[in-house]
Amino acid sequence: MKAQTVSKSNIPAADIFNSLFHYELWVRLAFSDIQSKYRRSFFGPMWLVLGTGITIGLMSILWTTIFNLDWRSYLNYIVVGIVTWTLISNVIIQSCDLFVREASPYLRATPLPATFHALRFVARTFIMFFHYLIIILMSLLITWQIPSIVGVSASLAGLLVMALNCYFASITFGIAGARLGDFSPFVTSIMGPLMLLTPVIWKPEMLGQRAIIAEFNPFTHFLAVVRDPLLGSIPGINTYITVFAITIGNIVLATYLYHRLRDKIVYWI
Amino acid sequence: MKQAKLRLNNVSVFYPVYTNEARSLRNLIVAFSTAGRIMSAASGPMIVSGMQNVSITLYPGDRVGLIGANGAGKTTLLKTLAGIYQPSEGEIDVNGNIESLLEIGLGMDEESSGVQNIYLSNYLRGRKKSEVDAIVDDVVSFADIGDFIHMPIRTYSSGMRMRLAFAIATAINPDIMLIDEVFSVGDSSFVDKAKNRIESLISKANVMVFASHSDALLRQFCNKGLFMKSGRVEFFGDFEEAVNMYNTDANLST
Repeated sequence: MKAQTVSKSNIPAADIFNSLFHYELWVRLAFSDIQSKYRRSFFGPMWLVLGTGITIGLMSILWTTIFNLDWRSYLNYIVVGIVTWTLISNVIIQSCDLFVREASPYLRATPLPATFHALRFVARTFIMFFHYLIIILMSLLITWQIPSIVGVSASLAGLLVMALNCYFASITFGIAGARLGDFSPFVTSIMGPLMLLTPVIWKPEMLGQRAIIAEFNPFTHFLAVVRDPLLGSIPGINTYITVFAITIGNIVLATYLYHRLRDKIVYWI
Repeated sequence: MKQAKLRLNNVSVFYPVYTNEARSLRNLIVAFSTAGRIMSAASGPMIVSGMQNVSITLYPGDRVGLIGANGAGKTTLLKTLAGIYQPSEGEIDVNGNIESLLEIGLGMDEESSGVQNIYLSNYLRGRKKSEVDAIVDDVVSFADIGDFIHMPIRTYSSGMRMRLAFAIATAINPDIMLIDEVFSVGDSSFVDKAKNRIESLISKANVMVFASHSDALLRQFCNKGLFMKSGRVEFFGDFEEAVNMYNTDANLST
């Protein structure tokens, strides 16, 4: 029997890629996290899906009535928007505490690299996200706006880019949260207002002249690459360029921080 | 000339301690003067030196007992060997698989059954499902807790928990084995069983480093002694000589 095979690399940045190859381990651990959380409940994560579904349903009825909008096009917009925003926001908020809380006992007692724990966390968050696809599916069926194959593929590609960004962002935010005690409460407090500033439940054109607020918000473009194709419109080239540029920046920042600070994380937590 | 399994060349480990009350905490620690050494940085965080300029070479067959007072750097040394801490200075050469028994019961999930926990703990040790399939029966039979193995571990007594955790931790035969005080395991019949298990593991391992405060336990398993004080190696060599040096030193300071 072989002993420990997953451990830190001599070149810190290499951990980021090495950990990806141990996907069997972190995927299994991620599934087990979810199972364990809902082990005593029969419907499990479906309770969350039900709650979110009802909330979004009521919200869209309210908005379409108050603002006199076409509910058929608006319901899908708001459903996909909120579900995708929840994914982004969960990853950002929870990754601030990732190394300090969840991964802390492992980082202090095993040679597993922090990137392994980041992958377990991102995998778990995405598995939860996939449960919400039921709401999206129901919404598309109710409004009978069936997306095209091209649209679905483009959305999935957008989701893949999102997953990549979540992995690298969770490393950056995890390190910042480990070093700076105030980072996690700060991020948590700005994510609420940030949702209002992002076209999650409103459309940029509703702002008229002020639509530029949405244009300069990076989250607008990440939402667009997942949401727009599913609802029948491919986002503009500037959206894809923005997402590409942010992804590169995200990878470079996380790799740089991890490479420089990996060996210190264990002393901060 | 036998090939070295583990070589530490002038290894030092320093760690920064960040706190909102760095100053007052600094004063507090200086006042209590622990065995570990605290170096004050002119500005910024307080720097604690966990171990300094450690150079040792371990060859196949070496069973090293780590001796020293609390805070002497024993755990820091073990964690550095295990790859948890990276040296701030110096190099480490490792030649073989390392398995560490530093913390027992890590990664256990309360809602999962004993068997599921065997899998989870092993995933966290970097073993794939197929590899765990091969050892799961051995772990179950060693833990010997009957049908409870299929119950969520929140229903376990603390003794059963220890048995399972111990069985999981000792299910492999590494080249290099690191052990940090793990012998407080359950009832006396299990303690004997645990000792036998450790003994057989140690006999298969090439190199072992074992930290304990029990001379008797160390004497039973070790053929070399490493006496640490204030993060430095005071003596490395014959086991009895190391124990004598430690005892003399402890008597002098009281």
